[in-house]
Amino acid sequence: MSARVLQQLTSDDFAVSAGFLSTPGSLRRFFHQAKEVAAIKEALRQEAITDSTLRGFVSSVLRDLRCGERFPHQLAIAAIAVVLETRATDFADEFLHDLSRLGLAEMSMCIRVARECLKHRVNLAHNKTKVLRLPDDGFSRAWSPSEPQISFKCNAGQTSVSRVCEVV
Amino acid sequence: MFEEVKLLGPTERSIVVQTRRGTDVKNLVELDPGPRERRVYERYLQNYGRNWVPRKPPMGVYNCAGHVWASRRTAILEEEEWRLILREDGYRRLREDEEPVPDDLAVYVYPSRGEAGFLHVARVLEVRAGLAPGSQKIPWVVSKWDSVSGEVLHHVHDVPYGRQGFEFRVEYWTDRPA
Repeated sequence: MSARVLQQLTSDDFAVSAGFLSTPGSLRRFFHQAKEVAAIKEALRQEAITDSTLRGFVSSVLRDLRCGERFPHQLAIAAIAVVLETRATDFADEFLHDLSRLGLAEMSMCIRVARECLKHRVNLAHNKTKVLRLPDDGFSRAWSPSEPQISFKCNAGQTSVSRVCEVV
Repeated sequence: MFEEVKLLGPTERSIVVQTRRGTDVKNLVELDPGPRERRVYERYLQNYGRNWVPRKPPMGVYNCAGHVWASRRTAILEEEEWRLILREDGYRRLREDEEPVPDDLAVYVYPSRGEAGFLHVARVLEVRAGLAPGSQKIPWVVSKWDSVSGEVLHHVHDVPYGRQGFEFRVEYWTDRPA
């Protein structure tokens, strides 16, 4: 399953279905509705694949990158960026930030899709903060999906305690 | 991540494009399509373009926005830049009771939270009579779908976006005075 959900991103069928959209914003929107992207998200959720699988896949397709030629797997990389947009892991952060900082004509579209994903990832962090009540220890936890940190605040109301810890 | 890719250094090239007000427009001169993109474009034509009239084979350099706003010299990819041009180049959206004329623009828009998103922009080539007597006239447009496609002539509503899962509408914009 792991190989299949990723390998389909490099197929001509996938390229035709996503074909020839003119803006990175519309391509990102398309991928959010694409069954191939949903399948990868589900595989990650079920742990059929991991961030390490994604890293290996990206490294393997990048072997086809040639200076002065359009990278033939841009759609695959752009789709991975959309998969990682809502994933709160170090790899997702690293992938999106590193890709969005590139200035390669060879990868022009997937770089810009990553920038779009980062914009929405920041919005998500601002908009979707959740407070989880933990009655046994009297603390509440604020959590945002793209921020791999949890801040704790005391519920007692008299003394405000804040601390930050890493998500394991 | 992308450590080896970073070794290539920046390879993007842009040219000077400005709005009428003199604001710089971000752009990118795109590389030509490779064999795979040409092959996929052939299938795209078979899937969606049975009634399209080809004008030009697949090529790089410009996308649809570069076609209509930068004289086919470069691609304008970011939607913010499209909004900037519409705002600073004196465009206005046609009213419901106005018909487009040749050289107006057909802008394909999808609903989005906040500002609407842009799918595509095409230049109106001509306005043909409808199929039935007295029916609404139908604009035909010239499209370059993206930075590696060819150019085609097509009926303004004969586009792939519905089949690609998009909700969208066509807006007509003009630089003619109101």
